[in-house]
Parts: sequence; C-alpha cells; structure tokens
Amino acid sequence: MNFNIDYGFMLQILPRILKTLHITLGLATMAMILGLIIATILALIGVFKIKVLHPLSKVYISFFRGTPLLAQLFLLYFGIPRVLPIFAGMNAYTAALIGLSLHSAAYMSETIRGAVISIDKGQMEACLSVGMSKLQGMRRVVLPQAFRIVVPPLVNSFISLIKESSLAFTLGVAEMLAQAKMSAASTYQFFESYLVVLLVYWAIAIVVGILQDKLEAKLNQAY
Amino acid sequence: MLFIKNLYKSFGNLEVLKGVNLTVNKGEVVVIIGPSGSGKSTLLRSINYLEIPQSGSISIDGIILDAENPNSSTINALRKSTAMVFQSYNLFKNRTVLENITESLIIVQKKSTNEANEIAEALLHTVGLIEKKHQYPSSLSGGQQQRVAIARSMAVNPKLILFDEPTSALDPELVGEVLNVIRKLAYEKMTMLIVTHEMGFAKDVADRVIFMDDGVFIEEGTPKEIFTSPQNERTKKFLHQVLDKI
Repeated sequence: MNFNIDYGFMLQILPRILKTLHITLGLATMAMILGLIIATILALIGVFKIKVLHPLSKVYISFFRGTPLLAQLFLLYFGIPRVLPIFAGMNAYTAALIGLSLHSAAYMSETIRGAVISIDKGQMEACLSVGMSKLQGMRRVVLPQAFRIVVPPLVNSFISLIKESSLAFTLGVAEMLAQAKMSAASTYQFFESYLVVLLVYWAIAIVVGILQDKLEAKLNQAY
Repeated sequence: MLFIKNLYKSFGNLEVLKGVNLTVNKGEVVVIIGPSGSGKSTLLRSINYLEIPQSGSISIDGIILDAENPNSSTINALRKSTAMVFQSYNLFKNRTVLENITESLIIVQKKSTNEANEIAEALLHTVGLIEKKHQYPSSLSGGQQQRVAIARSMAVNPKLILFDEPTSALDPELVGEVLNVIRKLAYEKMTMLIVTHEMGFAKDVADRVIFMDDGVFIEEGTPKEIFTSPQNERTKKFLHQVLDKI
C-alpha cells in the first residue's frame, strides 16, 4: 500500500480552491435567503391552513422532500428549458440557485411551521385580547419567539446547503468541488485534491457553528 | 354597558353555553362562581371572541356582535373595548415588562413611544412593579407576572376587564398581592367581570355574584344573598363543598 501524502501539493492547490470559495458561499447564502422567504410563506400557509394554498403547499413539500436533489437540478437545468422556452437562457448558476432554494424551502418550512405551532397559544390570544390583529401578533410576538427555537435546525439547513451546493458542479458551475476535481484530474493526485476540499468544507461548518453559538446566546437573553 | 343575550356555544356535541343572558352595569364588579366545566371561562372568552359562540349577541356600549353574523370590524371593536387577564398570565415572553404594556399602546392605539412609556410607567407604579420594568417575564414570580398582565390589560383603556381565574395558577402565598391589585381597581370603579374560585375575595369585592352550572346561570344576587342564604339546591351543594374545604 502506498500511503505517501503530498502535503506540498495540498498547500499548493489550497489557494486555487479558496479562489472559488465565494461561489460556494454565495450560492449557499443566496439559496438560504430565498429558501427562507419561500419557507416562511409555506409555513404560514400551513399554520393558518389557508384554503386551496394549503393542499398545494403540502404537495410541494412532499415532492421536494421525496425526490433526490440531484435529479431535481437535472430536471430544472436540462429538462425545463425544453418545455418552457423562456428558461432557455438560464445559466447553470441560476439553475443551481433556484433548485437549491426550492429544495431547502421544503425542509425549512416544516421546521418553521413546527416552531410556530409550538409557541403557547396563549401568546396569540394575549395579542388578540389587547386589540392586535392576527398578523400583528404573528409578526411581533409569535414569530420572534419561534425564531429562537428555529435557529439550531436552520443552521443545520444552512450547513446542508453549503454542502449541497457542491452538486452545482454537475451542472457545470465552477465552485469548490469542481476546482478540486480539475486539480485531481490534471495531476492524478485524487486523494490530496479531495482531502483539501473536504477540509475546507469542514472548516466552514466549524465557523458557522461558532456563529450559531453567539446568535443563540443573544436570543436566549429573554429566557 | 355589557349586554349578553341568549348566548349559545358548543364544542362539537358538547353544549357549553346554553342560552346565557347577562347585563353588567358601568362600574359594577360581577363575580361568576361555579364548578369546573360549567362554562364560566368559555363565557368570558366569548366576550373577547377568543371562543366563537354559535348564536346570541354580545353588546358593549353600542357595539353589537351578532354571533350568527360576525364581522371582523365588530370583533375588533369588541376586543378593543375589553381586556382579558388570563389564568396563565400570557405575558409576551419576548418583551420586557415595560414593552408588554407599551405594545398595545404603540401598535393598536398608535401612541408615540414616549407617551406609551409614560402611561406604562404610571401603570407599573399602580401595580407596584416599576423597579422591574426592564426585566423579562421569565425572571418574575407568578404573582408579579399577573400584576404586569393586569397593568397590560389596563393599558388597553378598556370599558370592561375580564378576569379568567386570575389566581388559579399561583402559589397560595402569591394570591394576596394579585387580589389586592384587583381590589384597588374595584375601588376605582372599574367595570369587571371575574371568574374565580376565591370565595372570600368574591364575597369581599363583588357587587353581584352569579352561580353558574352546566352552561346556564342558576342563581344570582348580592354576595350576602348567595353566600349566606342561597336558594337553589345546586348552589347550596356547591358552596358547601367549596367552603368545607377551608
């Protein structure tokens, strides 16, 4: 067995991989923001059981949770433009962003819905009893309390998104994994190339975890 | 001031209110007593439309809600002219003591932050908790939380305050401080409708006591009439059971 690790090579390709870090982080962050907006809307549709939209949102969540992300991305990028020509000009990055957002929204909406319904119903009743509307009560009292509960699972979703953004390389987006694959293919140093990119992903997850601890400490002040 | 006519409410097959009629005059303190499950809390919550009655009407100072034909502006007007004090306080957990009171002043009554703070501080003086104004509810005792909740209900500037078993969740030694605050409101001629199991307090503070059982009013009268010479057998039995415990 040949187990000589070429540390010099690893250090040499690290800057090249880090050069694409902004694509990975940009994709994950944008998908997180878009996903959160869609997820919040879906969650509120679920909480209030809004007519017509509620069954539709359930189908949406079921589909995006029940099918592989990679296949969703392929359908979106290679399939959809064939049937809907307005999407013909869509580039790989946009397709990946849309796919990741729609996918993560399905998971996050369930997280948010669960957090909202876990807030004591007396909180909303108190809002109504002082004359606030349901929407005001939601926005000013219930959602801020649900936010605190939802931070740990949402950070999980964000870390998942960072990792899942690597699937964008299959559509041809030059993100971190694509860069590592190129280094591997051109030098045959597969082990070092993929190890470096994994360590970078791991480091990002650790940093995100530290930021999570700080945010949680701040949100827990009232409790 | 408050007129309830023939109010009816059921949860599925269970009839909870079977045609309740009630009039409360301005400045009057009415206490409703009765066994658990008799519909007392449901009646109170219907007045604030937290429970949805099926038929009958509720009117407060000219705002008339027909249960069979409710519209959202009437519901809103009804809620703005009443305030509710809950058994489990229900203070906004994400807001400080002061913010719990200013919330409705700023959001519903559209007052400026300064004006809202002044009103809230005056109310906190009334309930004796001004030194806690920057704390969060979780750091307060049950009695203190309920006193803040009373201050919050007064900030609505309601025509009527509804108390739904305000001391039932409290440790015995904290009941007194809450009852004293309610007593103070009674002296100031605040119109109040109170559901309670504190018979001594009811005797003391009520202008009128109503005994309710099985979704209807069985008997009503002055505290003296109800507590010393109840006419109805069910009232006698209930008082016997409750007062015997003490």
